[in-house]
Formats: sequence, C-alpha cells, structure tokens
Amino acid sequence: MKKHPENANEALVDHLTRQQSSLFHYILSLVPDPVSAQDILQETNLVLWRKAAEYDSALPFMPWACRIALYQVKAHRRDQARDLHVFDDEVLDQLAAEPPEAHIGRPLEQGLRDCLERLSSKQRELIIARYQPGVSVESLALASKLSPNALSQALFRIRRALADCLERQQQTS
Amino acid sequence: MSTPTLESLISAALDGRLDELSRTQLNQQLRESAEARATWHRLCRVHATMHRMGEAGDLRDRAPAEEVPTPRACSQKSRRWAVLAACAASVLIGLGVRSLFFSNPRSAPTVATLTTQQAIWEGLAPADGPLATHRSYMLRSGFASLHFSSGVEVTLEAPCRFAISGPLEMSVDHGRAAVRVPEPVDEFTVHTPGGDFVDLGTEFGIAVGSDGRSPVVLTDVYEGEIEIRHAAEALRLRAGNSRALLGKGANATCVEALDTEPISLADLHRRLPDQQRPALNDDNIALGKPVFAPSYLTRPHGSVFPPDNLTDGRTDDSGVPGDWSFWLAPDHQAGEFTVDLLENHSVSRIELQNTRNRSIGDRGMKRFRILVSLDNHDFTPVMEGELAAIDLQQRTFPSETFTFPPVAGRYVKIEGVDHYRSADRPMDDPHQGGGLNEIRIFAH
Repeated sequence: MKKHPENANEALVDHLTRQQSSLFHYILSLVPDPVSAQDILQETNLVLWRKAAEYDSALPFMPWACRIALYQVKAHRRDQARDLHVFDDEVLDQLAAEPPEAHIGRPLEQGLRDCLERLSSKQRELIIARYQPGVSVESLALASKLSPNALSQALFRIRRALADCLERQQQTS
Repeated sequence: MSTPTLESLISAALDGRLDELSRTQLNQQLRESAEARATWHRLCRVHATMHRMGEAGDLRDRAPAEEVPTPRACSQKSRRWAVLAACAASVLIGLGVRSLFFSNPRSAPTVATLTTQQAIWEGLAPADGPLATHRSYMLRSGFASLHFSSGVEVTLEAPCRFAISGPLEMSVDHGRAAVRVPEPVDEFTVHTPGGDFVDLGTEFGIAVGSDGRSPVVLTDVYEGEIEIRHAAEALRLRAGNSRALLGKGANATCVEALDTEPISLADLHRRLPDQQRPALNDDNIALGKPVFAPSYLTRPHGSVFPPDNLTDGRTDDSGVPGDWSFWLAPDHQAGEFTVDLLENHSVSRIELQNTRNRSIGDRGMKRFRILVSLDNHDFTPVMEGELAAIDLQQRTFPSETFTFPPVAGRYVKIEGVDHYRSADRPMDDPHQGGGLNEIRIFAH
C-alpha cells in the first residue's frame, strides 16, 4: 500500500519522484536535445530541493516545478549561442505556457511498453534501436539501409502511433 | 520549393536534423497554430519517455534478438539522483523511493573489459572489469582503456562520451580515442555523429567534437589503413594521413586542413599513461570557478577557446573541436582574464600551465602581471612574471609556480604583457597571440 507523505519535505520528494518523466518531457519540449534536457532536469531538481521550504503542498506541484524548470531552460539558453536555439523566444514562451498535465495513473513507461507491443515487429525494432544509448540517426540509417530523411519519416509515423496509443490508454483509464 | 510538412519538421527536430531553413519553418508553424503545438507536445511525450527508457536500459529486453543481452545496472538518472537522495536521506528512508531508481545487476557475456586511471564519471559510473553494452558512459576526467573480446584495444581520454555495442563495434559521441586493431581482426567500427571510422587492422586516433551545430571529427592514422564511411561515400586513409570530417549525413565533407593548419592529433594518449598524475587540484580554489575575459579566439570548425577552459582541470592542450582544454587570446593580443573565486580568500600562490596551441606552436603567454581585487573594480598589482615557452619537441607541459605575500581578494586577474609566436613565420603573421592551459590558485 502506498504510504502517504507525512510532511512537506516528504510530499516534495514524493512529487519529484513521480513527476520526473513529466518534468523531463516539459524540459525536452523546450530544449529538444536530450543531453541538454537531462542536464537542465538535474539543475531543476536541485533548485526544487533547495526551495523546498517555499513549496506549498496544498497547491499543485507541476505548475510550480515547471515555472522553476523554465527559469533553468532560459538560463541554459543564455549560456548557449543564439543560433543554437531550436525555438525563438516567442515560440518558447508559447510552448512553455502549455505545459503537460501532471501525469496520473499508471507510469508512462508502463503504458508505452504495452503500446510497443502493438506495433509491427519491424516498427518496434526500429524505434527501440533509435533509442538505444549512443545510437545516432545517421548510424541507424546506414544500418537499416534507409536515407536519414526516410528513417526520420518512419520514426515520425511510429511516434505518432505510440502517442495515439497512450492517449487511448489515458481515455480508458 | 514546397514547404515541408509539420510532421517532417517535428521529426527533424526530434532527431537533431534541423537546418536553418527548417528551423525557421518549424517556428513559424508552431507560432501560428495551437494545434501544431499540441502535436509537438504529444510527440515530445513519446520522445522523452522512450529516451528515458533507453538510457535506463529498459528497452534492452525488447531489443532485436541478435543483440547481446545486457545487465540492468543503475541508470544515469538513478546515479545523478543518488546525489539528491543522499541530501534527502532522512526523508527518503522508509518511503521506498530508492527502489524506483535502482535495480539489481544480472550476469552477461563480456564484450569488453574496462581499466581506468583516475577516472571520474558523470552519470553511470562503471567499475573496472566487464563493461555493459549499449549504455552511454561519460568519462568526465581521467583515462579509460577498453580491451574488447575481439582483441581490439581502445584508449579513451576524458572528457569522452562513448558506448560499446559488440566485440567489433563502439560509438564515440564526444572525446578522444586511440584504437588498435590486432592482425587477425578484419574490421573494427567506431560510429561517430559525423560518420563511421572502420579500422582495417591498424592504429588510429579520433577526436570527436562539434562546431556548435554540426559534428567535427578529426582522425589521424598511425599505422595501416582505415576507411571513413560518411554519407554515401567511403574514403581510405593510410598511415600518415589525417582528415577532418565536417557535418553529418548528406552534407558531410572530408577536408585535409582545418582553418590554417593541417590536421594533427598531437599529444593523443595512445595507451593508458604509465604513471598516475599527481593530484594537482587538491586545495586549488580556482577549479571550476567562472572566468571572464574581454575576448577570446574564435575560428571556424570548433576552433573556439573561451576562458572557462582555464579552470576546467584539463591540461596539456587536449580536447576536441568545440571543447579544447585551453584559452587563447585573439590574434596579436597577449590577452587578459579574471577568475572569480566567488568569495574572498587570502591568496598567496598561483600555478600556470602554458599552451603552445597543440602541434602548431604559434601561441602562448610570455610575460604577465597578477592583480587581485575584492570588488572587481580596484585591482592591486601583486607581481610580474614570465612563463617559459613550450616548444614542439617537449613531451610534457610543465606547470610553473608563482608565490607572493598573502593578499586578500575574490577576483584574480592575469594581464598578458607579451606572447610567444612561431619563429618560422613573419612578425606580422596574424596567427599569434597569448594563451594558457590552466590556472590554479591556492589560499594561504
């Protein structure tokens, strides 16, 4: 049985633990490079922990956490050359203003595992190969005898199928 | 020319393949359409979750059958989180949170054995011994050697991000590597973001870096022959040849010279160093501290030398394009920089390691002044000194020590008075200026 948090610190740790995926998703939607997004997530975790005293456990966690994550994203962008930004400032603010809802119910990873089973074996192998650490789209394209553009299109179709599947799960849960 | 679809633009962004035009087009579509932004968020959710599962090794059980099963060790996430968890130990105990981040190792066939020297890892921190495949490792400091079951030996020099995938295959996303392939082995492939480097029974080195947008991969063949496979082309290089692979995919090109100089991986460690390096950074209060300079040298293809390199703990003109270990002043300037120690100290000793700008030998600091300040406004001159040049025949990069009576300050400024240059070039050759590998500062 899940233990209920007994104080504000425990509540914060509880939220932080359960919302890592959502926070990473939020950051990655603003900084699409996973390595940078991971670094920003770690910074955000530390800032959230330092600001634990300011956290009001009566209020939703994600808006507060996303606000702090956005500061970290902007700090990262300040340190980075402007021509490396995927999004301009206006689009960044638009995307940031529409953060993902706090994920509830079964973990996304669990849902995604079920969705992977619904793909064709070829699609499943391709998307799993894409997300192995150290694999680049270019090397995968060579290995799968596709052009990088064709591979990217194939990956888009698979990601869309997985997104549809996750939404169906959410609706039925 | 037709406008690409939102789908293809999003795919390009998620796969790191956006060019300038498509970036503009993606921004335009997202700016104008809430529906487009919703599509972006939906696909990002999948992208983010798959990425985290991949990093944690949670996709291995579902990988294609021909791939080698790997142990489930701690994920990068779990290792980094361990730091926070340690801070919050009193809260975490009893919550069962730990079980979310850690899982137990399983046994797996050994593809490569790891040996390290003074290694510091970021994220996953493998122990010396059998190394798990298909994990991304980041060697932050020190050296690592991989002995593959095929007999191939690879020496890695930090900072280096790499993964191994089989007895005849690995990837290097960032950093320096020296590869030795013994006789009976036909091919050993190193995948890089720019292309594949296939060793055909030889010894070669690579330095994988970036110009900030696209990969820049340098290679130098020491013995035998290698093949560079990029885009639809393959290029064979023999001993003594070197190339830089610029860009990736269909736009990748191979060039024989970078900027003004032929390509050379001077000072690449082709074996683990014989002796452990002394611990130079014990009590070094400058390590990792911010450094400011009015300007620094910036050239194309990742030849960028910002002042932060002065306190990064890396020495000896090492690094890769876009991530070199040393600072260079702009052409013709001796240069200056200021280290912010972030709090007041009583400073009494400074160690400086000069640079020679790799195997080029056209830059380095000569005479300099040390100044200290409490407020970054009023600086007190402390002493003047002179550094020796590091000539191209030298095998080591010495550090020189300068001591003075203790002086209180938070900001330490080094002002270059003059600089070294190549003796073979005319006085007015533009490629000359000050520079330095590292500054270490010690309190009284």
